[in-house]
Amino acid sequence: MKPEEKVIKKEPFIREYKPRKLKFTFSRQQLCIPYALFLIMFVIFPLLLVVYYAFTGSDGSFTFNNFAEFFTDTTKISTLLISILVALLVTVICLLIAYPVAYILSKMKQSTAFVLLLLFITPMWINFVLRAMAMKELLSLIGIPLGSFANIIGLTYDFLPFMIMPIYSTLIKMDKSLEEAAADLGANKFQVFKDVTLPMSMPGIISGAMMVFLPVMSCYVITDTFSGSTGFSVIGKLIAWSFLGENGTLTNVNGGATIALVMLVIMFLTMLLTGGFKNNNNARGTNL
Amino acid sequence: MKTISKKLRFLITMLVSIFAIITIFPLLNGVVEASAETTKTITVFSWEDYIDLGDEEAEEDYLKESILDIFEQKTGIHVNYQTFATNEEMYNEIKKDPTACDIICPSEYMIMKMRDEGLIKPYQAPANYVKYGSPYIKSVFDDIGLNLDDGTTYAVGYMWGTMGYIYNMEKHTEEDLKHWSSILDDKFKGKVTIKDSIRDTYIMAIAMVYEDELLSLDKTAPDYTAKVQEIFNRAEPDDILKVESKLQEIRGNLYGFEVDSGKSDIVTGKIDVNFAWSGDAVAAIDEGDGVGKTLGYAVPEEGSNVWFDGFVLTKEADTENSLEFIDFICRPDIAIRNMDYIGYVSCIRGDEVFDYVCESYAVEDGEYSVDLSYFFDDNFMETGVSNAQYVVKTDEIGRMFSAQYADWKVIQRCAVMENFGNDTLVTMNAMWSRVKLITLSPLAIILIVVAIVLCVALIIVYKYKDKIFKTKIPKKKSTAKPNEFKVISKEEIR
Repeated sequence: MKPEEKVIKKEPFIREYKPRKLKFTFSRQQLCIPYALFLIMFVIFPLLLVVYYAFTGSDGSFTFNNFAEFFTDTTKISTLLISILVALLVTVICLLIAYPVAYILSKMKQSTAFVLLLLFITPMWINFVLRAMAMKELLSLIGIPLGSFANIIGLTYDFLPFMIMPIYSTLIKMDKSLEEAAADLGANKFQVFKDVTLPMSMPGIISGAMMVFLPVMSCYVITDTFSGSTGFSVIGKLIAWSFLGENGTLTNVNGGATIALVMLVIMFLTMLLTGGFKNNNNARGTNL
Repeated sequence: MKTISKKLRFLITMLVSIFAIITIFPLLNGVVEASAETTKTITVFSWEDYIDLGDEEAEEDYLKESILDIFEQKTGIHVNYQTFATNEEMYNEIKKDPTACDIICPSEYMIMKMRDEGLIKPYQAPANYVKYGSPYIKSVFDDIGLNLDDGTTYAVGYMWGTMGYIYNMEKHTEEDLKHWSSILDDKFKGKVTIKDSIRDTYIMAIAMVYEDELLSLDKTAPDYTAKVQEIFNRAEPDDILKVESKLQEIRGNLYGFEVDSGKSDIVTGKIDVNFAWSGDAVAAIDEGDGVGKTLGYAVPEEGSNVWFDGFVLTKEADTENSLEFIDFICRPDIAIRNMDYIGYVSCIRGDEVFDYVCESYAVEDGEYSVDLSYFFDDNFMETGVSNAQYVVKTDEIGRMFSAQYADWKVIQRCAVMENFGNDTLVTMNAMWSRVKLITLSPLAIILIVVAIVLCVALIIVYKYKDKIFKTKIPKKKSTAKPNEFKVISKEEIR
């Protein structure tokens, strides 16, 4: 080889890349620490506190009395059952209203659908207490008296967007060719809907139902606004009562924690029942 | 080995971080406290909007400044003002941490409760309160045992008032609301709201239950007020049951229970009658005047509740600086500012306050004359002789003036509702939740539970139907096999 060439080779145009070691590297576990701390401090610790208070008396000793008191008090049990029934009713009404809306929106031109969807979703950006107050004024304008019926209207109104969104997003992501295939194979419109569209949108329906059913049970601010003197209250009211009290009542933190724990168990069972913990790919993007 | 050590390291870092955080927080707290000690600080725990914090848009300059700032400039004591929404919320806070604050401003029954539980300490009332505190308020404090024999007191009054009905004067007269039970009349159906709180509503219901007895009392007897007080504080299980049935009866005639919306509802005309505190009545009447709606305030003939909020000191309070603050708040000019701002009536009297009252309501040759000697005169409570100096002539009664300073005749029939014992409160709470919530019959409960369990079972069966069928597969196979044969045989035919 000629010496000149060697000189050129010694000074390459691009310097060779040498991976330098950072002084501080973070392993995956280390990056988890802030989140783990967050979970411990704001999720696990408070939950343990709820359990602790639920199983202790006012003097701090271990007891099952709180549960015994809760399950023997017919007023409290009635409120719990009423909450469940009301939540079911509101979920069904929301579903009946939201499904057609989402279905029509998903069939529309994307730009039109976007505007309409926005109109349905915008109320969600406004504080729900404010919306409830506005709805109350509207009801009194129309002449619907406060009470259980107004309660149902108020709850449905406030939770409707939570039902529309997940159903809409499953419907929009659905492969349209499946419907076409079904139609090609001789299914009429109803059959296409019943056998293809509806089962395919099930994950959306379930996650929507969860997002309505579970919060309705504890959403006492709305029932307070609409119930007047004869309407029902939901179980959340009892919890709020136990913790905050009102002019002249006794507060009972332990009793409140007990109700909260019972609610937690009910919600957990509901999730378990509807497969909320399943790793379902179809439900992706539907959990808002 | 390596993975185990990694996990160990992770665990150790976790533990160390948690430990660090746990130790650092109190340390930080300590640092903050240490730096605060250089300037004197007291913590006041009170109701929201319960002190004039200055109005940026006020016309006069002195109104722009917060009372707390004026106090700090004057004394160099910084006031840390914290608020609560209900007495019970405050009580829970104090129970958790008795050193959380120096001064609290609870309602009368909570003062009594905290006194009984030893959460507050008696103190020597500051000079301004001794001089300007209303004799009437002091006598009420004597009656309920807040003033001690050695001259100390558990509380110094801040604001006080009565309870009654705010009503729409265009539709109804005071005569229509002569009794508490008047709201049961059909003409008020669906047009009344009452307080969503057991304590306030209890007074109203007990007055309805014992209406005849209250009306038959001799109003001129010296122990009239004491007798009224005894009736209002009846809380035997039997009385509570009577109140419950009364409340159920009232409930049918209501527009609703409310805590805060009553004022606006009566101004907008949604309701005609609102059971309210006198301070709220003042605000509502004022607001009503603004939109051209004439509202009035009436205290029914049976009598009513006189309530007050007072300043108390917690056990660990910084007495010296706290008293400085209470003394300052009791200055008549400061009291007037607070009164003006909140709309409630201060427990402070004095010529300045009286002038302020006259300025607001007095008319030279007014139609009615209202005797305020009980509040402003030194000797009235003992001698019963009214002082002509404190008789206000006015054109309007039954409105704002009556809500703020009621006539002596009205005040005579007002009594303090005391704090009930825990056992009574438990019974009362249960009664209140029966009134407020719907109770199903046991049969209905059982039916609903069965229905829910059935639904859950159905869903589970539906969900796991594949598994359930799979267990039955051996049986099905035997029936399926002939089918297969049939299919094959058909093909063979073809």
